Amino acid sequence: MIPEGTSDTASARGAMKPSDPRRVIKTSDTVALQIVRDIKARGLVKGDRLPSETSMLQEYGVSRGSLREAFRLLEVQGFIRFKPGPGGGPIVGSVEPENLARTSTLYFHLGGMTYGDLFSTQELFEPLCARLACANPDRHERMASFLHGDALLGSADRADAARFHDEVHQLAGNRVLALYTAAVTHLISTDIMATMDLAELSASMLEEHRQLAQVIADGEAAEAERLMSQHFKAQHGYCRQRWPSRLNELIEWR
Amino acid sequence: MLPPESAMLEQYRVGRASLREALRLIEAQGLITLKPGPGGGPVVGDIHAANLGRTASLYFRFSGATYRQLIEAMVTMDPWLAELAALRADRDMANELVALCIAETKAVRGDSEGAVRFAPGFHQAVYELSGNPVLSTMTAAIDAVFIEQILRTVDLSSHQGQFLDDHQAIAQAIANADAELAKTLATAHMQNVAACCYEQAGAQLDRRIEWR
Repeated sequence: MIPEGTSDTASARGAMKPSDPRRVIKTSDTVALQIVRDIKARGLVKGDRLPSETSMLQEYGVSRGSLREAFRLLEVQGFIRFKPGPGGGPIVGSVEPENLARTSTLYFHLGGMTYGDLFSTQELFEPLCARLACANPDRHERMASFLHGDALLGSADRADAARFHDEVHQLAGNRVLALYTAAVTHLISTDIMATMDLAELSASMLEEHRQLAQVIADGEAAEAERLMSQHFKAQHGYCRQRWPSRLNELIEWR
Repeated sequence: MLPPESAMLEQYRVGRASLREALRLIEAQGLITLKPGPGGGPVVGDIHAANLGRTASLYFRFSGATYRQLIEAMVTMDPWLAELAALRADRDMANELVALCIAETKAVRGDSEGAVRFAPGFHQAVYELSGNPVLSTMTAAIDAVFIEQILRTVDLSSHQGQFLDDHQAIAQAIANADAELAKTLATAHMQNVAACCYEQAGAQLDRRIEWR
């Protein structure tokens, strides 16, 4: 049972940072925390059913308003979902970098940050992931399907390109860096790349993915880092040339 | 102060419940505060990377990331910002950072908690000099998780002299626009911090990141 209005801010964090910027912890946050802990404790995975609202109300001993707010906080981030209809109710969702990206853009937008800032960040994260991927023992297997990119399929299917980069992020091994990189790359691809005509780039992009897949499969870390850096600098250069104003646009919150 | 609820209801043409939920979602990120009582209402807050860190740590937790991975990410990202700061920083601001470092070093020398207290301010100042607010925000979010969760169990106070010297040398390299040196020194400094954590907390750092 969680007492209404519980706050752990004062006691726990005071010593580290005298001016604590973090907002006050509300009951709904504490309930959300408890739901997350219980998902782990009960070994629930994506798609599993959570206890019903009625039983959670009893278990956590909070008001319906606080519980629903907790649900909503987790639902916005995609960690729980609601199955509609009879027999429906809260189920376990999944971790999607695009949801973290979306929340981050709220900060980026209010902070007056631009797509140019996002580009420079991607130029650091992506080559790092390529380098780290070279140390992963699964790299041959995971890169295999990208080794024989068929240039005739040309128009470098965007979904396929995204899949290639997803694999590299996951191969990087460090899940913090992988999530951050995926979030940045997702934002650039939906907000910038999806609005650009990439026809001129697509053939070379496909070939670059093939080369990258090869050097990563071979574990050539320095070369993978160099090629990945070149790969994104080429895309950014293309965008800079065609749509220079886009770089100074504020990152949108969607 | 944002417009009062009644004005927003009219402006956005939504139900009261939807508006309150929208405000609450933004409040959950610490970007607005809902002032209670008469004359209260939504107030625009500051943008604190610590709040993004709190949300991000939920993702880290669900994706199975460990504290060791968080530290590794920090050891990688912080030196990027030191390098950018040396490349781009305004010379006057960089010199101010050096002066601040020297003053702080004198002030906290011998105060066992002093270095730890000053560290977040130093790193934040470097981030501000970097000219890349996106990378700065993302790094500061990780730093906040590190401070809130790892520094609770690890005591760095016995290394304070070394850390203060490191900070001063990094600030000097930034002021001299020596990007390579700034990055090298920042990397060594962060690896040093990481080594202290590994030494003290060891296997505890292989646990999954908590959300709190």
